[in-house]
Amino acid sequence: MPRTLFEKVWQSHTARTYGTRDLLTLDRVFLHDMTSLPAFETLRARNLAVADVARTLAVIDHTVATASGRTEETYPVMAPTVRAFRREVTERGIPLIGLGDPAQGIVHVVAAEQGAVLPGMTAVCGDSHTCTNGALGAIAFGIGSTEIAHALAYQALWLPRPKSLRVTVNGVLDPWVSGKDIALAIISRFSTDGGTGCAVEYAGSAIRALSVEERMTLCNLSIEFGARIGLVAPDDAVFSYLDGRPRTPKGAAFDAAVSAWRDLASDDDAHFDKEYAIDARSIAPMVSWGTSPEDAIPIDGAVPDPGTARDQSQRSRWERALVYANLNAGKPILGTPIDVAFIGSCTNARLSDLRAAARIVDGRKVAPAVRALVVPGSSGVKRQAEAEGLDRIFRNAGFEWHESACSLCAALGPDVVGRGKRCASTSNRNFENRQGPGSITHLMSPPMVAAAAVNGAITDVRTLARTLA
Amino acid sequence: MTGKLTSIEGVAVPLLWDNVDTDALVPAAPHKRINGGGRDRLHEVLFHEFRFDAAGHLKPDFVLNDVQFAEGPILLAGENFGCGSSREVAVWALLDYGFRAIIAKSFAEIFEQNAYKNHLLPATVDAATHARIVSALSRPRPPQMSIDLVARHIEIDGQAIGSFSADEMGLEMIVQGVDEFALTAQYIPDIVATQRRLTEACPWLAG
Repeated sequence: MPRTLFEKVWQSHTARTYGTRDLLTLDRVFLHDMTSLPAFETLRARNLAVADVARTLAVIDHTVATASGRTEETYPVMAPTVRAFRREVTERGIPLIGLGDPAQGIVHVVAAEQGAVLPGMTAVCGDSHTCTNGALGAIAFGIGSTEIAHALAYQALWLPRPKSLRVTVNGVLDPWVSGKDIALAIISRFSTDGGTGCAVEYAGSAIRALSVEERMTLCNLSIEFGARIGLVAPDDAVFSYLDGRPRTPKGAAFDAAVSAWRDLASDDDAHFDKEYAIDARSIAPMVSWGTSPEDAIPIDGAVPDPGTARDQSQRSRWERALVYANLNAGKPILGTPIDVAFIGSCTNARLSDLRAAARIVDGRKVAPAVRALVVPGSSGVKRQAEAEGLDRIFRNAGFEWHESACSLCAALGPDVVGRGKRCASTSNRNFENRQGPGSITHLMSPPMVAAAAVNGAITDVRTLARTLA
Repeated sequence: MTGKLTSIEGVAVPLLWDNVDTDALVPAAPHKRINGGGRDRLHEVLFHEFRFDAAGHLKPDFVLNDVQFAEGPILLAGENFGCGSSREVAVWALLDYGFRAIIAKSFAEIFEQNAYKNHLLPATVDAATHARIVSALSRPRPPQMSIDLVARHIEIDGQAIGSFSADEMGLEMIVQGVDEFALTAQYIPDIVATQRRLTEACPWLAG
């Protein structure tokens, strides 16, 4: 019987079935400082131990400062949480990548860099963007704190069996159109709950042509599409990405793994419960205007008129979003002035993201009234960017150059956008107050944020790229 | 954890927005301010940016600030309730505020699972049932709603309104007042056997 990539991994990890739920065994449990403490309380209350510390990895990223020289104490509001987290994981013998560790960074970026997530694995973390590493051909998904406790205690979770959804993207992308734009195009077309209840496999020639890092951006945004799980079939690009990473098998063991990983791809005649398709050539650089990731339009588009909404509830949501975002219906999004430009997050702060943004920034200046910042996805990304001189390009243009953490993506540390301020952001959520109370977020790709920083307004990156060439 | 729960009765609060996200339920800034406090302070931060203005005054037009809806214990929402983050505080804050059930046309997955694990009922209704509830709630005095968790049935002022759907195992946990930890403990040998089979074929899966 032909099977999908998702079915192969899910079925092989199912230990038991109970009604509509499967008891899925977990190969990796990742922890971070924001959502783990309640899980440790649950373990204590139930007198349960961590089943397998070797399959567990803790990272500090969510609640810490990003200023140069930062420590756990730099942000006093959350310092007790970080300290308590470090104490809990250390006492339990869980490996920890904390501040000052050369491998530190945002948990999903670190997990991939370390080779801690591999094709065919199941992996969980108390963060909804855990789906990022589905780009490696793993079933990776976000869970709540009670589920973290259960995962730590039993190395398994009871889960409703998701339906399978394939999103096929065929064709060649235009220059300056990236994985981020594909994701925003899919979410805007099929809605922010279009993937709810599904494990999404991204397929098609445009997906195969994406770099592994762009696939991570695409899979990262699966949760903004409603899907807890997003995957791409692992291929040579993934195998060469993983080769030589600290936790990747070495030598003959790596060759054996690769040969097993080649069998993971969905069989040609595998059945999917749902199928969506989108033409890569139809995708322009995208920008969000409202307060849901589905509120995204092509950069040359207009802010929608609630009068054209599909029903009353969408109309009232659009009306509220227009008031919150302080935008006028029917007007072009192009030229909307910004206050802050943020290049960071588990969505879009890997080396290739920084390189693409630097190509736009190089030789230019950040507009006078704009605060622009780069917060690399990991300390490793930061070091490599510095070795390539990207930090000098950003700094010379007037960007701030930060230490790695979640920063302005979730505003759980000290970094906030400011009330009424408008931020061009490479992150994943444009919810009200997401980047701090009263913040207004416009999601876009790293080169689009770079272009907005330079012009002080939402810009079509292609107009700057032309003068560059 | 509570005991058995077979019915939930009281006022239903209409908050008919679609895509109510976890940052709306528990925004980061006030949550950080009460960090270190127990879960019994989370009612303060629920819907914080909608209940309070920047100066901390109540916003009179938000439904939770309407005295006739102050008691809950049922929230009527639109589509895709709880989308966004995995933060379980979103569920804890709803419970601490006094909610015991959310009725919606659909839920985001992680929120829905978190709700079951804390015995907050996420009841999914179809569009027709939703419309009947909305119309009943537009009466001048908020009517009494009754949710029968065993029959999966909703009544308003004694009149049948329709049924709801819920995940079988999740609903059973709420009705019986149990959770899956004890269930899983019985299946540890199955977990261990599955992991052994996997690591024999794929040794790199071990840590």
